[in-house]
Amino acid sequence: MNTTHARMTAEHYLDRVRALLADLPEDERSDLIQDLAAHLDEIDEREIETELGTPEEFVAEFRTMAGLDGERIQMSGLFDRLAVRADAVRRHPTVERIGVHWQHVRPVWVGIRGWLIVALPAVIWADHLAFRRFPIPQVEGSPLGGLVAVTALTALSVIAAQRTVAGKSMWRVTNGLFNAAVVWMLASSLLGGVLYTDRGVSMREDAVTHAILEDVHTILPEDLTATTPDGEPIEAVRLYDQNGQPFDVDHIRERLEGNWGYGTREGVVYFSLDGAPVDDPPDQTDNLYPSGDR
Amino acid sequence: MDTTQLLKGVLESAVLAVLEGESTYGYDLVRKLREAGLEEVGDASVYGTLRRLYGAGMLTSEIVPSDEGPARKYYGINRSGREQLDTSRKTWAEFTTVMDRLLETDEEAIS
Repeated sequence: MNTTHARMTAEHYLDRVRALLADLPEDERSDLIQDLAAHLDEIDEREIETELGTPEEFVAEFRTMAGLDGERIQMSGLFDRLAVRADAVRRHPTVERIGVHWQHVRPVWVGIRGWLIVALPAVIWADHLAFRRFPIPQVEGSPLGGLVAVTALTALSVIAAQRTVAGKSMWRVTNGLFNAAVVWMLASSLLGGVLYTDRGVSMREDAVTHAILEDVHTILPEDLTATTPDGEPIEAVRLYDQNGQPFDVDHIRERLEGNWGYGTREGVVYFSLDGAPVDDPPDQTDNLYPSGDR
Repeated sequence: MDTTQLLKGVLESAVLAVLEGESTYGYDLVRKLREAGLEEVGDASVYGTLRRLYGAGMLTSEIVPSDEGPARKYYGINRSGREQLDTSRKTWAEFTTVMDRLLETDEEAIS
């Protein structure tokens, strides 16, 4: 037993064995890993290398008994060669130490991956409307849709992580896709921030524009009724805006949609949430609402 | 007595003998061998032996769903495996006869 190595978890052990047998067909390797995983389930992690030897010793014994000594290594493909290279990296002492700490963090990571996959796109492409009630992100404007998506993806994330230990390639791929998706979305968030800063007007702002327009559509009055203080209806009422223009909801809507083209804010008057007009539109349009031509 | 080297030589016959009784999967085979008295047998040796026997066409395999987890590959013995097992039994019987005789003679010489 190599006592210089950090204590090895079952998952780490299986990963090493899997990589060391990269030259075997995937189905054979999966069968072995699955049987080995069943055994590891019954062993205290502190005793793994005492019971089975190091992964290198285990694989060496397997090869000897399987008559594979003379066959090594007929790599079956690029992925197998990459697996061996990746294993060499994993065996680096620094990487091994990080791996031991990662095992403590991993359950949290697996638990929040599903939430991140739903929340990050909402933040990237829907901006301030991503959450109505944190931490449930909205999907197509629906918190319920967000809750369902987060629940489903979190369950799938946990299952993929558990099945990955058993060695089935389908679940390993699923698990990898989860990680890749989150990393890609995080990178997109950073890249989106850079574009926003550099160009002033970005895809992110276009998304904000449309999100605000949707909000405006929901708050514009549809059926106005004027009454006296006693509640008696007043007929033939005419409404005018601050510019003396007749108040026409359809007209306002048309002007709003015409003025809010992709990537431009020209000709739009901004109002803060308390209704006060904002003369100089800031770069950041959160909490502002457009209202017709300046 | 360190039976490790001896085990390696006879493991093929032991695996075939267990599978003659019933089909099973890798780790269960390890347990059965240990319960039978081969406590020193290693997982890697058994899995390697299974792989070699299967590659030599002496075993069948079947994917069987499991209530406790993912489906498992069960190994069983086929006609070729039974013929190999019969041969091994005869070889083993002859070998033990010779060894018994040698060891008895050796013990008598010592005493």
